[in-house]
Amino acid sequence: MQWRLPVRSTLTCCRREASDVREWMKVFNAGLSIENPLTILMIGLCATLAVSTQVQGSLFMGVAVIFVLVMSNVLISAFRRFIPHEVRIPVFIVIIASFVTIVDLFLKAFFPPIYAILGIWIPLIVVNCIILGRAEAFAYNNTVWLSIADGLGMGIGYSLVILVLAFLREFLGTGEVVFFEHTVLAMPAGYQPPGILMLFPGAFILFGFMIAGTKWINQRLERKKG
Amino acid sequence: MDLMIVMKAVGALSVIGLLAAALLATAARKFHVEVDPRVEAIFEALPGSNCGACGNPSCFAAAEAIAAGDKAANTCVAGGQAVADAVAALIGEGACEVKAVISARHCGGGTNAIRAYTYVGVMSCAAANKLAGGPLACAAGCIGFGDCQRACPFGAISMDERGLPVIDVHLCTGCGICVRECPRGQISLLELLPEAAPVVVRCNAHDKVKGRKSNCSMCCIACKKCERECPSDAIHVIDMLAVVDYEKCTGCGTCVEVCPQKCIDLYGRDNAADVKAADGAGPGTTAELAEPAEPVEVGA
Amino acid sequence: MSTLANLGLLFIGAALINNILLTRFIALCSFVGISNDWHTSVGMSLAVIFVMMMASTATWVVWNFMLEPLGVGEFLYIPAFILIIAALVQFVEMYLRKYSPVLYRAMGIYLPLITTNCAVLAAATEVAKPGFFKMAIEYNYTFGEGLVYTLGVAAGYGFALLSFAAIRERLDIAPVPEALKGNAMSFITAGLLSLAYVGLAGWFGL
Repeated sequence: MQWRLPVRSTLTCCRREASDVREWMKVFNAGLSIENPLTILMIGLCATLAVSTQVQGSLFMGVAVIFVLVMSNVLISAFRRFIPHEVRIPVFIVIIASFVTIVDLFLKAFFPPIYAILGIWIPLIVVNCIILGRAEAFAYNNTVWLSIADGLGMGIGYSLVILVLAFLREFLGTGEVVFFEHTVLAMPAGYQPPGILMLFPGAFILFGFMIAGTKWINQRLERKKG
Repeated sequence: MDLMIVMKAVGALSVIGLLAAALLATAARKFHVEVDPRVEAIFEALPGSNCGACGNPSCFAAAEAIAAGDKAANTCVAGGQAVADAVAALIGEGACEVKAVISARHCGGGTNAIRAYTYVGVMSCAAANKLAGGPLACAAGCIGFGDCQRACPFGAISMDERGLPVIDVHLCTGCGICVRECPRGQISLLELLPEAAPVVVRCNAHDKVKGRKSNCSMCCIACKKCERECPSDAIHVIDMLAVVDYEKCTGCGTCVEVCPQKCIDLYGRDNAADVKAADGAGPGTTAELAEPAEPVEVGA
Repeated sequence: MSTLANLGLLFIGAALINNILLTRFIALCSFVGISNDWHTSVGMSLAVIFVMMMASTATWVVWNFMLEPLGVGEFLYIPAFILIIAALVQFVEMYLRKYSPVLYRAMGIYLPLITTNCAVLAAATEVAKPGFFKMAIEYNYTFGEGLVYTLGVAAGYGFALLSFAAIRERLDIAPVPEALKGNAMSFITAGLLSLAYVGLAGWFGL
């Protein structure tokens, strides 16, 4: 049994000195590609697979995650000198919980059909590993400027993956993409959708192939480089 | 804005927070555990890879055992002399010696070895060994399915094209886990040799010499040529197999040259033979002595 | 229906039919992260059962005797429940450290990890706040029913985690195509496991 864990990229764990634009872009890009929370770091999975049955739900989920991630990163980074080390986890959780409550109530009030789709996954954003993980690993040790970059990068990286997954599942699984009752895209008539894609097993299997695909692409790119 | 509800919310959450804080404060006091301060210090000195070679489940458990006096300061083999010295200083003992050892493979078979049957099944050496004594014709050879590679906590073993494990002598800490995991480790297929061992015999067979060559072309034929030619009387054929006495071996390499079967190799940190060179030239090449690597830390 | 049969069905429903891991997707991070080693999975399952039971008890009490009567539960339940769970986990860790060092060493780092385990928050909230899982049905759990439900959820989590860990250990040495090695293959296997559970769907809804 190999005891080794994948080596953490120094991009996101070390302290940062300067805060110029290039630094910002580097941190931002990390979240999108080489440290994508879903396919590489494998955190925040629960919500992804459950919510990706519909593109509209996934879109709002992605936006919610970006909002909570950026806001909590900013707040934690701003107050990082005042948060004692021993009680930092409860403090993070309470800060994150407050923002999630804002999202919860906002969706309930203004987008009830979306709230019905997303259901329990909104409160469960609190324990979404991505947000707590980034708070612990990045926001607690870096400036507000860079924490915004990390939050945005990770959030957008997450949203991209969940949107692709949702698109595949909804389009291939039901034959059409529906957005607030309007059919945006539809398969030609006579298309028999494989229902398994809309069920839980389909999500697992499709996501497994997505990870394999990303890995294969990364390997090909690395081989071309080196 | 309904002020009442805001007050109630603040009040409720404050009460819960205060209750939780009170609970934790009393718990911290009532459940206070006296921790030997040396345990923390010893734990810092240990490598922290939790490899388990010392027999303790984790580095922290080893630190506790050492602080309690149950284990000596040189318990950690993987850490080497440096760690033993640091630990000895912490517990106030005199310096104790750690035998610096590295693992070596006594087999040159791989693709040279004849298969008794085609094995189809779980790709694990231990599993294959249970099936009629293994897929090799030789009962003491390396099966090559990589149990040792998977067991090594420091990533020092890799399987090469011949199907044999290559031990990176710079990463190997001599913890001995590969010897335990190998189904033929008990009969010394993998053995812990002194760190500076200059040569290694690439054969482990003890059966009748007559049938050996039909099992594998790389075997020791017990011709005793090495024994006769060795200027330091360091290599002897004991029980139909050439065995090196590392106390006497000077690394002159005479045995390597005279062996008709070419089954003795240069080895050890001074030779660094068993390391893949930077250009991937494979085992048997001499590489530059690099800085020995730190054991890989398992995330806490 | 007798109460015992009711409770038994509640348990089976929570454990197998609406298995929290494979049919509800909750707690996937720990599922993928812990299940590559059998022994750590056992430790994690035991820890989760332990913490979940205590957490549901606490949340049920807090909801019914504090949050609901005050009328602030609607928006305060998230921070309140998570505070309770975090405090409980810390308390349990301290208690174990003092009175059962062996168990403490065995559970090791998994105890603090359970604070962020979605399953604990989900089960605790479902027991306290009605209609958490299914927006249509509002089932008010009595205290006893809440306990049985939580035990079922924890047992289901443990069962799914252990079967997955056992399969993953064998996948480790199986000849898998290069791109599919590792997490990809695990997910596909999890999908097949989930497919098996789909066969149980609809037998008992709650």
